[in-house]
Amino acid sequence: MMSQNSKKHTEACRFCWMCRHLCPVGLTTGREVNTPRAKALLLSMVDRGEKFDKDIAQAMYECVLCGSCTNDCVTGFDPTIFIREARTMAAVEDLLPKAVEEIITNISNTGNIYGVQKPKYTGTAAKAEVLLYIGEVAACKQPTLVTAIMSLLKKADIPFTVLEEEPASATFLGDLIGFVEEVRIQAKDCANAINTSGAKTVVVLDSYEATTMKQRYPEWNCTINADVVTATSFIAGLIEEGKLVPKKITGEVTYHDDSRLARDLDEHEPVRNIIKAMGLNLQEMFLNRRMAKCCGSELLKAYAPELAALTAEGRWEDVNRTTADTLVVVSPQVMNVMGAKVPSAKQIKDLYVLLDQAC
Amino acid sequence: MNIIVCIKLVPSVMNLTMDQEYVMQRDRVVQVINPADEAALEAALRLKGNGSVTVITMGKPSGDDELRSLLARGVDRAVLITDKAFAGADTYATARTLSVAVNSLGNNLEDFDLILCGRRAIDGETGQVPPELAILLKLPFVTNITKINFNQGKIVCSRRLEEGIEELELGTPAILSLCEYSYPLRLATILGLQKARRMQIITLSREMLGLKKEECGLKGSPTRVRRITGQPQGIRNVTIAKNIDEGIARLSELIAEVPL
Ligand code: SF4
Ligand code: SF4
Repeated sequence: MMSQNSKKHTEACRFCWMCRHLCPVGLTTGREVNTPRAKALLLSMVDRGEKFDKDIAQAMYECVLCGSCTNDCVTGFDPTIFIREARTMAAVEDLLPKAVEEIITNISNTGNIYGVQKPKYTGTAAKAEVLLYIGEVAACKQPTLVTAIMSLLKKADIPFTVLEEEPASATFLGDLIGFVEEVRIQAKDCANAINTSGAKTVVVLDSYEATTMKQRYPEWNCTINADVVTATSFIAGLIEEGKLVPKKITGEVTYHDDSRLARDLDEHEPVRNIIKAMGLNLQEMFLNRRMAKCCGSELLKAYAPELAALTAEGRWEDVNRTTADTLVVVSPQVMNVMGAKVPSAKQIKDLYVLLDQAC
Repeated sequence: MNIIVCIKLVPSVMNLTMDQEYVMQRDRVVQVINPADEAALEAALRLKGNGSVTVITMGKPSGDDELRSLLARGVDRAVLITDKAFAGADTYATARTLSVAVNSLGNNLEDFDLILCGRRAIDGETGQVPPELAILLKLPFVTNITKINFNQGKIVCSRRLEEGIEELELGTPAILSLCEYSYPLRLATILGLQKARRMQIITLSREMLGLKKEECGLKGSPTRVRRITGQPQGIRNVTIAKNIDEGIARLSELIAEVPL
């Protein structure tokens, strides 16, 4: 059961090839099914009576929802709309790939995609105007990043709090089963927890979660009574205000724009300002800012690790074309995905860790 | 409570074309649920308790998918009134068809306590169908509702007026029309979507409703649209800002001009 809106997009994309050269998945697998057009064609066949089966469902999960196709579409079509709805269909028809099902079970058991007890962190105060929303990827997989950002906030004299039981933001569930009421309820719980904290600003570490809070929560009537800002713009702001004064570091780096930060939130300059403030020489990669090629996502890595390894390698090829030997990242997801495939002549560094050392 | 909600599918586009009779061309246009009707539906879902919510809409058979998506949100029955004879109906012909459909549902299904509508549709913007329906069904009617509660057999509702909010109490059955965005509509659940696949959409045609051809659609509509014109640009002497920054700069200038 696809919405009329979805059908409008499948009908437009089904015979169009104009964005196929940008799909990070299609580029690395070389498979026709990994193009936005093929996904539209499959769904338009379903609309014409073809059975929605396991293979079609599987195809819908071979996509990182990176929005590269949408960004490039001159006619304003958006394949992520029908891909997400097709994922809902897969859940409804009991056709979810097994690995996806396992992650959904993890989320319902523990609130995170890993199915583990989320480590707890504490802020500098039980109540503060600034709330740091850490997110499950950083909390479970990137403790160094969390420590670095907390240290930066302390150095800038910003009292901050952290939710004792940080609820899931609904980002991953929404990417897995589409925008259904179960996802909205998770978002509502998260918004309520944030509102109970009384914070005036929510600094969100993971851009995927910041995108959900900034763009989806208002649509779902899950109001956050505070300003939601990405960690990158908040930290860049602290440098601009002179609350953080980094020492200059010499070196040449390149930076990978993650898709939700650069495309969905249209935020690419704060990171570059941080890099500039540290005196680093930035070598831009082929396809940067809004055009950036996605390296995969933590979610893709969780249910299709081989595919995420390929997309990461695809992006490392772009890094290799620059003269920089270091790739700096600000996203816990990028750190996990790209960090798993670092070529021998290169290194990957977290920008917050570097900045913390420089301040 | 047993509640009927009248909804309309409206085109989700910036530009619409009309035919020679000034009837909207709805083919190939994505149809969405009218925002005020979404509010009526959400209010009904919250009020129904152990009762039921029946959704009625008049339109093309292609409305089937959208109605199924409402069944997935907790609607118990969806009724699609569809027939070529209904094309081009004005508000009166629409209200007459709806009133006959409501009466037929009362006989075929259980009786109802409340009929909820959106206060107006974003395509026609007349806001006439709910009051016309109330007159035809001889039921009490309140418009511009922003809040409804059901308390000891009475409906307690808030009605938006120009000067403020009016609190009203009325008995059942009654018709209320809701303001857009007063009750944001929930999304479909996975379980609801699974259930909705197996549910039947009740289809009613002109003959099933026992309506004569001259009582429906364009033929049964006393309204004649003589002419529709586009809003000529520049009539208010406005300058459209090219981007946000330009808009903010201009706004700051205008605010500075306001005497304190
Ligand atoms: S998103 Fe645009 S460019 Fe890509 S397949 Fe669809 S219509 Fe073509
Ligand atoms: S959203 Fe990204 S991964 Fe998915 S089809 Fe479009 S370009 Fe490919």
